[in-house]
Amino acid sequence: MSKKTWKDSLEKTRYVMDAWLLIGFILVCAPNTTGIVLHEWLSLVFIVPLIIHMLLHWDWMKTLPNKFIHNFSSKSRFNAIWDVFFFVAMMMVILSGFLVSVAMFPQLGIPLEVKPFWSEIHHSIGNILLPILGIHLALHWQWIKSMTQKMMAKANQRKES
Amino acid sequence: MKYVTKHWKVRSVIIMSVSLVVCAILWTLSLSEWAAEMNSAVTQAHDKPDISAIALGLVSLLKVTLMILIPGGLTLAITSLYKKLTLMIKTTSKG
Ligand code: HEM
Ligand code: HEM
Repeated sequence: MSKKTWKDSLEKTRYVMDAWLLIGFILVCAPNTTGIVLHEWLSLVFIVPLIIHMLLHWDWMKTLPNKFIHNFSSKSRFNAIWDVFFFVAMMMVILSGFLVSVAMFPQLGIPLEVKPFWSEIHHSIGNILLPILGIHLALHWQWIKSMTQKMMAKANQRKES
Repeated sequence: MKYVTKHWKVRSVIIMSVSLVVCAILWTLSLSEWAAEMNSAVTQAHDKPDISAIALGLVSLLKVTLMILIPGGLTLAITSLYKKLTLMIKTTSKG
């Protein structure tokens, strides 16, 4: 019989993928730490965990419009509005990021004239994403706490056996 | 990985398409008066702070961490206060 792993549970898959997403996000948000070249290529790779994050909440997103109108609690409603807001802000940062590229596009031989407008947008909204994420995480704090306990318990069990 | 790979091709294409449409709409902002104003304003290059590259890297990571943790912590504080208050109001109005 094969052993059960985190891949067999949706919640645990989410936990592991969310951890990668968080690490990726922190790296992408610190271009002074990584350097601009790495920042640009890392941001491109970051799109993968971002899409996975949405794939893992597919059912939630699919039922969103219907639930939003009929039967959401005020907390879930706020959550939903916040997620949409987060998504739009994230799109704005990724779009403006490409439009202010100083490494990727030149490396690919694509000419680009960087407009101050997009620089300003990338700079400001890039920084605003941080508190937006802080609030996104706080809204799921119960889940994060209980899943961390579950994952720890499992890890301890494995150590003992 | 069965949860990640479930219908992932169709779903990723949908996510990418929606994202592209949203980006196209956001891009139209650059045609606005507001954008033109910003583009014509004299821009000053951001000054690099006068510290070593390692210190700058560490300070940036610290900035990122604090800018996530502080709003997150405040949100937790506000939501737990709100919960306590509504509980208090409920129990006092009953009693
Ligand atoms: C960038 C870093 C992000 C991190 C670290 C993160 C982390 C999390 C965590 C821990 C949860 C709760 C647990 C779970 O069910 O997976 C969650 C839920 C969710 N996130 Fe994110 N997230 C991020 C970005 C985003 C973005 C940009 C969106 C916008 C599309 C988004 C949409 C959602 C949705 C729809 C849910 C579940 C539904 C709900 O809000 O209750 N997340 N996220
Ligand atoms: C998830 C996506 C991204 C996030 C969260 C993000 C975030 C940031 C942040 C926080 C900064 C620093 C702003 C500051 O000086 O405080 C920055 C700078 C920069 N980013 Fe991004 N970025 C993303 C994607 C991209 C992409 C895809 C590119 C290009 C291909 C890019 C190119 C740049 C460049 C060239 C700078 C330096 C611009 C300047 O100093 O004015 N970024 N980014």
